[in-house]
Amino acid sequence: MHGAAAPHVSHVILGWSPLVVALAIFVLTYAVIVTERINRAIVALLGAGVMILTGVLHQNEAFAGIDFNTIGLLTGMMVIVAITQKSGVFQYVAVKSAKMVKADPWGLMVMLTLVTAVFSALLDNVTTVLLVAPVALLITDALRLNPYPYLFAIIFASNIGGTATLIGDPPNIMIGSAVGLTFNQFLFNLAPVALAVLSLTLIPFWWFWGRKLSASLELRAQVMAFDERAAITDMKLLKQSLAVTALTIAGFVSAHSLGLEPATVAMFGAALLLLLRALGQSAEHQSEQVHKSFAEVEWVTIFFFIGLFIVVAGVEKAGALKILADQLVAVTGGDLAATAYLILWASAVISAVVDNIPFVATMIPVIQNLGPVVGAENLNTLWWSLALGACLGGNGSLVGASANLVVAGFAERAGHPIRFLPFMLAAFPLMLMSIAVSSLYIGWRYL
Amino acid sequence: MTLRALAFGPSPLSLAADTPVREVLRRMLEERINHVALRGTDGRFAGLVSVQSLLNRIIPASARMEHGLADLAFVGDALPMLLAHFNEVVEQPASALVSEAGTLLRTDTPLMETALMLSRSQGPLPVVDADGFLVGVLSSRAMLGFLSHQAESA
Repeated sequence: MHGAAAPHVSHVILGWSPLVVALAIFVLTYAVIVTERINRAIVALLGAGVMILTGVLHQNEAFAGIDFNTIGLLTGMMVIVAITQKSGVFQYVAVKSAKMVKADPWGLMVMLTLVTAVFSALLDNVTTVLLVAPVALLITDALRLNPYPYLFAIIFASNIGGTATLIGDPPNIMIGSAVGLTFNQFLFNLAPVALAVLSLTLIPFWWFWGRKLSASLELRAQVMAFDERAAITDMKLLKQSLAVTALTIAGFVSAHSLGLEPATVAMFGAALLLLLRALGQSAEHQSEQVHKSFAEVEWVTIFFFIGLFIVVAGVEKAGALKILADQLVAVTGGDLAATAYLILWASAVISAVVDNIPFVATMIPVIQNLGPVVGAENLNTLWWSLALGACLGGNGSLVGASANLVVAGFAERAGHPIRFLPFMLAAFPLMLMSIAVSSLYIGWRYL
Repeated sequence: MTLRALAFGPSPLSLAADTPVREVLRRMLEERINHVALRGTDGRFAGLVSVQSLLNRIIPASARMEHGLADLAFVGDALPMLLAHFNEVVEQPASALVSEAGTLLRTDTPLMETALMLSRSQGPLPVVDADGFLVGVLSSRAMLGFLSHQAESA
């Protein structure tokens, strides 16, 4: 997570304790982020600035604390997806999958769940639901079905699917980057349990909704008449995007053996796709296209990450996270199993109510400090526990993940609002079920 | 100079805000007009319903909303779907078609601001007086006619 920090002794203003000042900034920053009264990027950048201004960190240390591998990976993938979605491929896949099940309501729910989970494993969750939710709303509109169960399923699938790979969810990107875990390691260790959780989650979906959903043959014929090929608006772009995406995924898979980092793979893929799009265009048109592509990067998220990394670097340098790690050891006695389960369940419950990104950013150095206690060879167990808890915990409430709020926004604009409490009453138990499954998996595979 | 200097078009047909959309549409088709003004119970201007706003409500929400579907070419004709939405919309009161953020002009709106608002609008804009009563509508054509006349007179 961190580059080499220049040695610098903190000279905090007024001679105050660096630990106290750093913790105060940390708690205040996180508290304001949780209230959502101020844009989180603003809060994170302010927190970062105060860390430097008060003398806890020198600017060099602050910059060294920024995980540019995470930043590069996120930015690169955002550019690739922003360009790819213009081809209409995501709408094609969603409509095609609906037709594969003959627009059967329960089949539609299963297919949308699977499509969302797969997309989410390869793209970020917010982008996935931005692409799938509108098509889901259209199809349920055509079938005269209540979209609520489908949107609920999309929320769950996006968080479960994102758990499966290095690039599926920001917590995994941060963990992988900080610790050096590869795309393949995430795939081999987390994809199996993500698949199991997804499959098991369909059971209560069927029980509560699936068995009661129905649509007339006439309405289903209407959906069957959709022409998914017409959803492809730019065939040339589709071919270019699919080629670059395949190359990028291949790059992630082989990155470790090639001595490459994920950010290099993602940014190179983005640059390649931009080049392919630019070929044959006038300079002015190229400039316009590049500008539009970069404009679709979620810069708010990127700067939020930058600020956050600096804030965490401040508390880490002040020693607060070492203290937290020691407290964790005191509670669990340094026992690997107890520590793993505590991290898994605590991460899940916390991630259900607060943004999992700041939480994971804080936990990474804490867990790194546990190496001497549990043994460096056992640390991966804790990383998988953190990843599972942080990603799956996002299903626990509407505020558990950004993708959840995006879907809720769509639902509201479509006239079918998803209310916080009703959602949580259904979602929280389901999330706990997924963590129970994850506990069994962790125990069976690593303990 | 304000838009009092311009020639407003006559006030469009005015109906009560709770008039069913079905009746509003019937009058639009019968009288071959594209806009109907709505008035509240106090007689004040309550919004402008256009054929555009009506058609917009018939389109699936997934295509109307921000970050929604950019095109519906893959849906095909989908006449049953259009009719289903049409039948839902026409049963609503006309006030349901009016956006709260609808643009309107006031009789004391400066000329440049008026020109800017018209340039951003897809149709004529309602003009209300200080008390909120409709006094007419102003179209881009009227603005251009005024400027043309001013240029010739100069």
